[in-house]
Amino acid sequence: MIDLEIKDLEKKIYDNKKVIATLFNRRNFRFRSNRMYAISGPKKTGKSMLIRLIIRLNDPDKGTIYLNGAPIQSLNLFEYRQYFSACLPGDYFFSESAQDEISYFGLYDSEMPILNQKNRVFTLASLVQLPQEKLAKNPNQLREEDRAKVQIARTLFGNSDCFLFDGTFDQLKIEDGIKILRNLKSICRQEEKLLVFATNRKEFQAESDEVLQLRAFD
Amino acid sequence: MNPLWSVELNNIFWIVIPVLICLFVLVYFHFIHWQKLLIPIFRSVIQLSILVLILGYVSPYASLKVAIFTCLFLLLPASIQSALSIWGIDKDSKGIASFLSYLIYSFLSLLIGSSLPVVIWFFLIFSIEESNDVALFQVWIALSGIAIITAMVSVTESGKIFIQKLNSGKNKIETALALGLTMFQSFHWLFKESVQKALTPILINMAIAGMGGIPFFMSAQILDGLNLTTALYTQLAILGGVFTASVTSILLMQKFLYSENYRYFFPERYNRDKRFKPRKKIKVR
Repeated sequence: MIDLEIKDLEKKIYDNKKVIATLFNRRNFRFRSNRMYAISGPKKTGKSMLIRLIIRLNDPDKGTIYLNGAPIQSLNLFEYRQYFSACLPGDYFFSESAQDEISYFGLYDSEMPILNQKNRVFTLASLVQLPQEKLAKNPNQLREEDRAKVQIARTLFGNSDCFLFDGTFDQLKIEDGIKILRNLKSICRQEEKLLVFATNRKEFQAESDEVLQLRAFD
Repeated sequence: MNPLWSVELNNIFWIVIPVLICLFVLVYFHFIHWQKLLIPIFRSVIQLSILVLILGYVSPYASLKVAIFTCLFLLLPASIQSALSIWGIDKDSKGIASFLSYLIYSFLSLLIGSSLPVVIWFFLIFSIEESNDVALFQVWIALSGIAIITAMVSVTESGKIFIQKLNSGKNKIETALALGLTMFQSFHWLFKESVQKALTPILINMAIAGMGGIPFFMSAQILDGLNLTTALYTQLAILGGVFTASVTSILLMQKFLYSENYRYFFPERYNRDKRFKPRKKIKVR
């Protein structure tokens, strides 16, 4: 179970040591397990930054993030990150085939047997609507929407409590995206996971339990 | 015993002619700039001459101390060369401080990496009975030079690839971190590529050791009339030592470069928290 609370959040964006934007304007956020949240807003309003702050790739200038009541600065960074699995923008792949790419996290997970890993890859591929014949292909040679599906499946592979997607769904066809989000919603409910995704598509936002709207220089 | 075959100064010009023809072809067709060819040739002649001078100078005083000092002396130019190559690739840090850090990393990698085979060779060489001490010390120094120089080439290559890939693949590391991998695991693809590419020449060399490339040392021993089996064992000891020196040096260099660079992924937190650890314990509600 995850209860992520962000209080009085403020983040300054710098360019050559000059502040060019102040994001979030001391806003509060709360994310809990069993729910799916959509983050929306125009460009440069901090959608990606919010996800980076949650997984602690960046730290806020003001405000505190609490995980189950504990300020995240008090937690070990790498133990804290085990709770999350995020998909950041950009097609960066580590393996020669989509199948290996999806199970990339499994390389470092000694607890999961290889047979289970293979089964999990096939399960995830069907969950993200990726045809099985594409699993053998190099992810870099797939079409944009299939690359996005591989990235979504790769993110879901680890047994994290919270999944975050930064604009990944925007690369999908609307009907595929809706199907995948519905599948993910059922996983959220069954396995008590938290799912956060940044998108500007109304159709995808409609699938979420809550939409967090960010404003320019909010 | 006189060697079976030796080259005198008046005969060596026979090999200079084909070398000059090759150089001419390379430069004439603009395959490579003449400066890039001239510098290594010039350096190889100078370095070989210096090596001969050193060996000649230390021979009358042949002792363990002198041999160790000579090996350490060989490490210095190798480290400088390696540090210069890696420093030239790193566009983010051009200061003298970064050069010095690369120099220290190269020196330590080469020193530690080549120590093990050099020590083993020492015991192997000096276990021979009825030995001529001066000649054996010379052989030991020459072998140490082979280990150091091969390790230097590998360390330089691995360091260059590490820095190049790091500069172009920062987002890839962040992608891995976002998947929940640890910092070391997120760098794993980078280690893999650097180590593989740096080891490729050595592995090829080992793969064709018995066929295409008759090793220099073995051919010299055979020419000197040594038993073939002994020459083979000696060559295996040399190949094994060179491989060990290269792999150990590469891994150490990777470790140093990783320690130097991983923190820059989190400048905000690094400045504030000092290597990601909170300054004081915060009470958990």
